[in-house]
Amino acid sequence: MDNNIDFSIPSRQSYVAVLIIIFKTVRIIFSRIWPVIIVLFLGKSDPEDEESYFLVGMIVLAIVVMIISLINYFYTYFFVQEDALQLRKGVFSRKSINIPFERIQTINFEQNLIHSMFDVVSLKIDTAGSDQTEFEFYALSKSKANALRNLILEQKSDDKTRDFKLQENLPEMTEDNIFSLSPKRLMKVGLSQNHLRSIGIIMLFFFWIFEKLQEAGVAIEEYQGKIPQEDFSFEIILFTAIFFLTISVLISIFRTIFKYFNLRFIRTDNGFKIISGLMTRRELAASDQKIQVILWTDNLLKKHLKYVDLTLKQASSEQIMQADTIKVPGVSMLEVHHVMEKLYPAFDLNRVIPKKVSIKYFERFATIISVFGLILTGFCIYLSKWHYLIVVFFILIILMISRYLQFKKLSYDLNLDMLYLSGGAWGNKTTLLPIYKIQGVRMNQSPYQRKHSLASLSCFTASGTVKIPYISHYEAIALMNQILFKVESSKKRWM
Amino acid sequence: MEEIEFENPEISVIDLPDVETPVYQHVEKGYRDLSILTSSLIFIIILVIYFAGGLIENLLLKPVYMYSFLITWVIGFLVSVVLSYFSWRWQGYVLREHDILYRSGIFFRSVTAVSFNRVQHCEINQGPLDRLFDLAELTVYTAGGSESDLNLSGLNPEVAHKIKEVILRKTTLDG
Repeated sequence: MDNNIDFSIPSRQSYVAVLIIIFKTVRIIFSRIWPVIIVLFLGKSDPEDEESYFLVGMIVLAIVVMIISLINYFYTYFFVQEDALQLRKGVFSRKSINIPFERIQTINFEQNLIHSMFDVVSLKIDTAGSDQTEFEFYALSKSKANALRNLILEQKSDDKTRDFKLQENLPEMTEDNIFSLSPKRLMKVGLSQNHLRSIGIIMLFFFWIFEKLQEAGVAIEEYQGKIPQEDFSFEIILFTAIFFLTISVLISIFRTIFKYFNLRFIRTDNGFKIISGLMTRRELAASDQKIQVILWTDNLLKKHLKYVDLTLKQASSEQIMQADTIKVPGVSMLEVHHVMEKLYPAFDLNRVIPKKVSIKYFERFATIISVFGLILTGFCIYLSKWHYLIVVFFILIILMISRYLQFKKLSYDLNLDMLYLSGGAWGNKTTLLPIYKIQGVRMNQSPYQRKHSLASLSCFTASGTVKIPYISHYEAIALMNQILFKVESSKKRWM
Repeated sequence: MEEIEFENPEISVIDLPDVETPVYQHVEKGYRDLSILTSSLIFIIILVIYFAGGLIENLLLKPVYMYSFLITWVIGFLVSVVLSYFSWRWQGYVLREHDILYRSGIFFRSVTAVSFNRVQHCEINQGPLDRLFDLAELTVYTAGGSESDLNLSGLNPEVAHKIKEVILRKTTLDG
């Protein structure tokens, strides 16, 4: 690691940034232009079209934005002064931005193909607080980026050392590999993805092409006539189904490979780090203190393959929560235990005593959904749409079963200073959080719940809400009292 | 990371301070009047819109449609007024040594608790209608997202400022 870089001198980003900016623009233009290329290929273009002017306008705009970005690049300097990252930018009116280290929440690296060719990374800095600022370095040499990150992290953790040049002698941070995703496991992860989502993506893609083609002036209705109407036999339906399934599985696998190729999940001195990606290498780090909630999920396939997806949620503003979440797919329970040992040493999953929620959780839903179903049935009969009736019943039964499974699996426990919640309909989802990380508690009671002296409890954390539904009113009050007591008596800093 | 040694003896759940027992402080009576006024205003606007629509589309002024609309309107109006009247009775707050409790709702009831050592900041708001009734709204923000923010509406402005001071003092003390 190179710590000899002097950050007190204002400097620009790496020159590779120019390339990155150009690449970004080309990508935007290409995504706009390719439907037109298809249209030209089909030989149906109409150059006098208003749309083509619009397209030209878009391209001009993209190029103007690119030029502005390029000019900005040459006038943007950064340096470190007084425990803050200083930025100077602007051509005519100089703007100076000052980001104090203590306000910086996350520093994330990203590397796409161009980045890795020149050994640079893009660096994204997020700060929390009411006035949210984000700053992205397009390209920074890897050693420089690492040095900058270490500087910021060390400065944050140790406020006493004022002069950052002293940091040169600090020992290197230890890194301990918890888990690497082997190619075999990667394939398994790809195979057991939620393929319904992939089908959704395919559909969206087709709709998008359809729309683009229509925009570009291709009369799709002409082709519709060419589809034979009478041959909707069993074979064709089966073939289409298999075709779609294959495509969606393939898409899932490709997506997985792109995202999780060569994944490494690392234990650092006081946190976790994940590096993954095929074309774009992403690196995401979270310190123990910032991790609020951990959860692991599986589905029917994953359960069979005996692994879960582990998620570590960091404290962050609602807008960037998703981006700050560390998700590790293809983890065995053994490795989950390993993470828990590091993160919550005093906790033992085996000592959790899961408690059930009230059966009313299912009954209430069943009643409401039945009434709704009856109304729909009435409509179907009234309009004599008999085949809709089958769909209605099918959906109704699916909803009922999934709610029942949810009820069967829902269990919670407040034990060993941790809140444990497990549930899920077809798959499983287990959530775990230290009680002192809870920001607020709310008990809700609907008229129905009041009649049966039940209540629901919501625990708000800095990375989402954990809800325990349909427990007895007294239990809810007791839990609320306990949580408040733990939160108020804890001297630990939640972040 | 500072780790302060912290005693943690086992405590019986029954001995913990209870969120159900404290005496909740009512918000100002003016808030009840204000919520009745606001719901009345909304219903009057609905009425005006309906008849304005009637001028354009005569169908709306046919007795069948008009009477069924008026009946629904009257029922809705009464229900909302009664609801605003009674929900005031359940609405209230308590400041305790380490936290603030707030309860609200009439049919769908809720009790929210935020401990002072988790408060991010407080804000006092006074809309034009609030000023008319000499009321203010205190919002207590935590890091738990917008869902967990505590909205104490219908406070006397002086009381709101006092509560804010108390919370901020406690926050620095407990923090």
